[in-house]
Amino acid sequence: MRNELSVAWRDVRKSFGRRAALDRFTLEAGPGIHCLLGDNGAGKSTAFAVLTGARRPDAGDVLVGGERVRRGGATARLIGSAPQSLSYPPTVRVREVVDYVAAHYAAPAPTAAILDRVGLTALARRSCGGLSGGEARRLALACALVGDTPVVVLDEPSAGLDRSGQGELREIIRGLGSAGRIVLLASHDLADVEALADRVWVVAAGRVVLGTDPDDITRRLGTRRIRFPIARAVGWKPVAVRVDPEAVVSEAAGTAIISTTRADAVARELLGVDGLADLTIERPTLGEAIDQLALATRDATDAPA
Amino acid sequence: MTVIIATVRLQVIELVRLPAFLLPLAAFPTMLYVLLPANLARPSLLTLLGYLAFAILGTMMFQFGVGIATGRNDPWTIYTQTLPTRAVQRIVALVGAGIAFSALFCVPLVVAGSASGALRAATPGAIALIILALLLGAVVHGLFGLSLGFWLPARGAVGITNLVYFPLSYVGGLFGPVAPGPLTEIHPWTPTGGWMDLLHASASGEFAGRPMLVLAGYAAAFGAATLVGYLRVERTVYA
Repeated sequence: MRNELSVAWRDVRKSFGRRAALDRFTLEAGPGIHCLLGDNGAGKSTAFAVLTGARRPDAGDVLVGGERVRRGGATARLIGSAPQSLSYPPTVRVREVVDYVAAHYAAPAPTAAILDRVGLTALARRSCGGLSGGEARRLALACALVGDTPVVVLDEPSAGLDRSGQGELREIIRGLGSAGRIVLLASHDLADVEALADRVWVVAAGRVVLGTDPDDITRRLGTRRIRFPIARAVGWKPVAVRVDPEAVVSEAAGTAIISTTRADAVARELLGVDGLADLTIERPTLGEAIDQLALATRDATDAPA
Repeated sequence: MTVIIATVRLQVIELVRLPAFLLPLAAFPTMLYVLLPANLARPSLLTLLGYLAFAILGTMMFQFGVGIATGRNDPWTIYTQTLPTRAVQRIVALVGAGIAFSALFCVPLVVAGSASGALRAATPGAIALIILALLLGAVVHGLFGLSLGFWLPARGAVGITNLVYFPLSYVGGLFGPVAPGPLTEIHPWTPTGGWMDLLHASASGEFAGRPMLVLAGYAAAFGAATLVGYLRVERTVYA
């Protein structure tokens, strides 16, 4: 399915009580796989909820193909979604759930084919109350796919899946992306992002702080942290900066921390510094990388012109 | 139409597999009918019709009034409302499911009534009219239940529904004619009273203009309350 659709959030605000879940959230996505990254509570799920119509924005526009989103309206026919916290009526069977969702779309995929695709054929007659967490996630994926829609929204789809399930899921998502669909994927799994994303959107405090390609993320994640006790080390700072002028150097609680993309070269030189010992090299976690990206972007935005 | 059928089907298969839902609503009206000696000793079609209306009223009040009020914040319910469907389609489907269960819950009463001889005097024409009158009342009270479901707070739903259900059954004459007094003045203007008057007229093959008008008025009022309640839930509970 090739489509020229796009989905867009424009200056969307959404608050729950005093907490702003979305704060001038702006994003536009065309065909391809879009990964939304961000901490818990960053606003990813709320952004999806206002797109599918599960929640109403307080302000701003949410558009699919240029048309404003309304719960159960025309745009809903274009979206298949698997929300993060989807539960099912416990007495209804797996196949019946998929049949029910399929009935809402003009040209749904055959239920049997979808169950096969998500690995639930053997459980088709099982009551939803008896599903494990991973099986329930697969069923959510089936609900998202059965409408055969040009826009597919997947909120933490790999949560609760075992390794083989995660591999199968990636194949499915990759297939959707190469078929020209707009796939919107929220994930905490760096491997998902590296394996799948055409575009990465970093979300923090209800706002998109960065839209970039995965290479950029990988490059930024290529930054390593060198750490060692300062105690008896003498003259280490100029050595580090000489090897990598872009290295970020800091000290905390008697420990030196050097963030650098040339960790091996910097470490080699530092090992020649008098009194320096117990040096370690660390790769930042995804959360830290996101924080770095978010902070760097915010700093750039806030910097005086 | 596909969405309506699919929604009715899902509602039915979801609830039909829940004995805790099914048994009380199926058994309670029949138990009352059978256990009160006068009902079997002096079998009467009008008495049986009152109990049938009581069975339907209970289904609509508890399936919709309590069921929707307590389940409307459920992730599955929220998800289904994001699927491409219109408010009217969902309302029609919910009433349709209520009618399906009402028919099911009327079966044991009809069996008990037949066994006691309460249906002996009913002609096929009267039975057809009675079925239509039951159906009309089911729609009106289905909308009543839905409006309660969309307006009542989840925590108070059971108590408030009981507060509505039993007095309405009594003043409507569902357990027999209302004792003379102020209630007889109110009776024809209540939804259950209008319904019972229509059922009585149907049983004797008469035209019942006022009960029809009363029920039509309630259908419009409850229908509007349901639609506004549904939209309100969209705006507030899920917002």
